[in-house]
Amino acid sequence: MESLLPKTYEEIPGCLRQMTEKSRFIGGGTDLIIKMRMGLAAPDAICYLGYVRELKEIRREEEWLSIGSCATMTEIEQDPEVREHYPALMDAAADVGSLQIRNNGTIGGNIGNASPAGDLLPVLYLYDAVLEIMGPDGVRRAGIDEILAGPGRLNLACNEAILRILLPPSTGYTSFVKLGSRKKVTISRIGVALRIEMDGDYVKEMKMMVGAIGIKPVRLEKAEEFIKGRTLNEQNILDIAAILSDYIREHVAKEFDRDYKVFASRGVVMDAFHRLRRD
Amino acid sequence: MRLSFILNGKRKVMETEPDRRLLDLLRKDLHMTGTKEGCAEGECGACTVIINGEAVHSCLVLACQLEGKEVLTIEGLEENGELSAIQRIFVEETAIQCGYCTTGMIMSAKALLMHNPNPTEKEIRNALSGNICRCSGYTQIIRAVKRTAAEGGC
Ligand SMILES: Cc1cc2nc3c(=O)[nH]c(=O)nc-3n(C[C@H](O)[C@H](O)[C@H](O)COP(=O)(O)OP(=O)(O)OC[C@H]3O[C@@H](n4cnc5c(N)ncnc54)[C@H](O)[C@@H]3O)c2cc1C
Repeated sequence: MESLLPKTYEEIPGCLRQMTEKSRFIGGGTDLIIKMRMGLAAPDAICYLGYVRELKEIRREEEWLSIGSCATMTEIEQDPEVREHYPALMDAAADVGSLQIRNNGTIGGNIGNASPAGDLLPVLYLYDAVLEIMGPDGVRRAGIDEILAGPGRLNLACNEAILRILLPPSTGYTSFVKLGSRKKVTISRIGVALRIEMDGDYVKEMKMMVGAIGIKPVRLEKAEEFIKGRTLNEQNILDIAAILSDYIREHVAKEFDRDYKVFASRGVVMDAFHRLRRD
Repeated sequence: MRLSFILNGKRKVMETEPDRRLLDLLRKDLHMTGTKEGCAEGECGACTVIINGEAVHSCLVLACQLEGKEVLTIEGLEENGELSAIQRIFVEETAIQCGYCTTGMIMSAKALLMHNPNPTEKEIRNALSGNICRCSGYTQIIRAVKRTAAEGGC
């Protein structure tokens, strides 16, 4: 087994050039190491990017937030910029696995994992995240949806690494709530990410992304249309929950816990709206 | 690969494979068996160690990720051949039944107290929520962590 361990930004392209179809990046390893032990991955080389300082940084760039792909869930959850301007990302990072998993698991790995239940994914869609990607010959940028291909799959060449996650300026109120079967340490069953802009008492615009009910996060446009120009009273929120239940009933296969998800979506939607207030 | 890192305060240089788990490095290569292997998939917390001040699973860290890092294991807690306060208080409070989860539990608690010397019960429960005790002696464990904090040790 080869190890490719760039210590500086400048050393990354040289390492990428040595990667083959069988090589893998490792962030924390909370996903990859388990796959290797189950025989689902047998890399010829592992490339660890975590020694490159720039890839651990979370910092503002003009009006945008730049998050290094090797930033851990704990680092993201505790970052003051994230807490103030991207609170739904804080919610999602804070709810991943246990403390040990959050101290080790990275945002790059959460994307790389491309699990339908990946907690950060609906939130990255919510904020229209752009990924900065490096290949052997240079750097490119692409939206999260262009890169996420399906369960466990990314539209990336074997020698392309996610370097940074770039979040455009965020407006309005945002939140994320996931529902799982146990209080802590749970793989998301449904994750609801919300962004609301108000005009007085009325909703000017809402964006609603739902995780773990499809191969990629689902945008619930019907609910977004419904709430436009209305107030956020209890009945309207229940109606949004009903739109989500209907969607799940129609689109989720029975063996993916459909009945449970139909039933539970109401509570998650209510919680996500309550959390917008942050009090 | 040649790996150089800090183990319990001392520099360690060793030849190993990049995909060697820290858990195997400790238990099999260095014969430090205080760190336990439980589920080997990040659910049980028995293999918890502290890396650069944070509690992590040693079953989910590879040698190639360790260069230059500071690893603290249960073996590194003793002071001058005596148990450290947290170890002693775990014994005194019978926060140990079969003992298998104990070292992971202590390392999680230790990491908490390093960050937060006066945790609330909720913070203690949260910090230990990734450590499973099958004898279900949680009450004594929480009590031991509280007492360690109250006595200013860790
Ligand atoms: C007990 C347990 C509980 C968990 N709970 C949750 C949970 O609640 N929610 C959740 O979303 N996930 C959960 N996970 C899954 C996992 O911990 C997270 O997805 C985590 O974010 C993965 O990050 P990592 O850095 O450890 O990934 P790694 O294992 O290092 O990598 C995962 C994949 O991404 C690729 N990759 C890593 N970095 C890059 C990069 N920079 N560029 C391109 N590809 C890259 C790797 O090649 C690999 O294929 C859990 C896992 C365990 C073991």
